[in-house]
Amino acid sequence: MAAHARKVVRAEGATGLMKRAHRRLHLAIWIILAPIMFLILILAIMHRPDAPVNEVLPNVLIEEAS
Amino acid sequence: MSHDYKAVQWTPFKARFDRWMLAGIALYLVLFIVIGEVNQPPGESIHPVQAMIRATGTLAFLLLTFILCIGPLARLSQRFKPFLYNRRHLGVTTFFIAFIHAALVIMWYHGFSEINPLVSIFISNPRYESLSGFPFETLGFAALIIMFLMAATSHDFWNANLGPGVWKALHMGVYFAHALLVIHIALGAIQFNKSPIYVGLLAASAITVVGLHVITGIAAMRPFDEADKEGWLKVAAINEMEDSRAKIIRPSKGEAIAIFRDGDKISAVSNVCRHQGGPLGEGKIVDGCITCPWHGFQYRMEDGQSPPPFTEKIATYATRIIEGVVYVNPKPNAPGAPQSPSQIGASV
Repeated sequence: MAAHARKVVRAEGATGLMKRAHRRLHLAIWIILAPIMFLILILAIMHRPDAPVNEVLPNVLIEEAS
Repeated sequence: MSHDYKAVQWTPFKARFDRWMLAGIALYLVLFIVIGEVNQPPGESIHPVQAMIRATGTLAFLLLTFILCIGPLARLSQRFKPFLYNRRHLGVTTFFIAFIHAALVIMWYHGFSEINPLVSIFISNPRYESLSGFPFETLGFAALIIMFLMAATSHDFWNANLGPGVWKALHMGVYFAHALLVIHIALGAIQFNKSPIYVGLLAASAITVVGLHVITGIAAMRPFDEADKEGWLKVAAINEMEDSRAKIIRPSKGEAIAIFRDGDKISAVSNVCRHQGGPLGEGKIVDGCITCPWHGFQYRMEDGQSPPPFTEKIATYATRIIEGVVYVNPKPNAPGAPQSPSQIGASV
C-alpha cells in the first residue's frame, strides 16, 4: 500500500491519492431517481380509488362486513 | 474527531442537540396521536396501535426528508452547518423510529396469521401488477433494510475499515430509501386516506429533496478555474475573503483547493477531508485549525497535518498576494508538507 501511494504521488502528485467528492454522482442518482419517483407519485394520485377498497378480500367477506 | 474507540461519540454540543431531538420526537408523537383522536369523525375511533403506526411512519418520513435536505441547505447557508455536524445521530434515530413503525405494522397486520409475518408481507397481497392495490409494504421493508445497513455502519469503525469511498457509496443508498418511501406512501397511505394533507406533505417532500439536490449539484459543476501564464490560479481580492472562511478553486487537474483566510494569513490546502472526503473549504477555522464541516476533523493551516495525537495529512499549496489579489499554485505539496502562509500586510 505504501509503495502504491509513493507511486501515485510521483505519477499524479499528492492529490492522486485522494477521492474526488461524490457530488456528480449525487446529481446523477437524482436525475435517474426523480423522474421514476414523480411518475409513480402522479400516477398513484390520479388512480386513487373513489372509496377505500381492498380488492384482495373476497367479495363475500366485504358484503358480510358491510 | 476521536482518537480512542467509542460506541457513540458525544460532545457537549451533540448531547444538547440529541436532548432537543428526543424532546421534539416525543412532542410530535403525543401531538399526532392527540390531534388525530380529537379529529376523528363522530362514531369512529382508531386503535392506539394504529395511531402509533401512523405517528411513527409520518415522523420517520419527515425526519428522513429533513436529513436529506441538510447537505444542500448547508451548502446554501452556514446556518445549517450545526445540523450537518449532528446528521449521523439524527439518521440512526430515524432508523429506530422507522423500525418501530415496521414492527407495529408487522404485529398488527401480519402477526395473527399462520404464515411467518415476514413472509406474509410479500405474499398476503399478490397484486404486484396493480397500481392502487400494490403491496406497498414491500417497498417500506426494502427502505428499512437500506436504513438498517446505513445505521449499522454509521460508526467511524466502518468508515475506517471499508474506506471513505466505499462507505460513502454505501450511504448514498439513503436516496434510494427516500424514493422507495415516497412510492410506499403514494401506493399505500395516499390510496386509503383522502386527506389533502398527506398528498401535500408527500409532494412537498419529494419536490424539496430533489429540487435542493439538483440545484446545489448543478451549482457545484461550475467550470474549471483557468491558470495564468505562470500557472497560478486567481482566487479573489483580499477584501472578498471572509475571515476564518475559505474560497474554493477548481484546477483543471487534481482536486479542488480550499484557500483560507485566518486574520492576515492566507493558506491553501486540499479541499478533500481524509475522513470521508468532506468539503473542507465549506468549513471554517476553529482554534487555529481548518475544521471539516461534516464531522469536525481538523488540520493545521501551515502544514495540513491533524494536531497530535491524530495522524491525518492533506496536501498543501503555495499562495501569493499581488496588488491585493490572492493567487494559488495548483501544484500540490506532499500531504503534511509545511507551506508558509502568505501575509496580507506583506503583499506585493
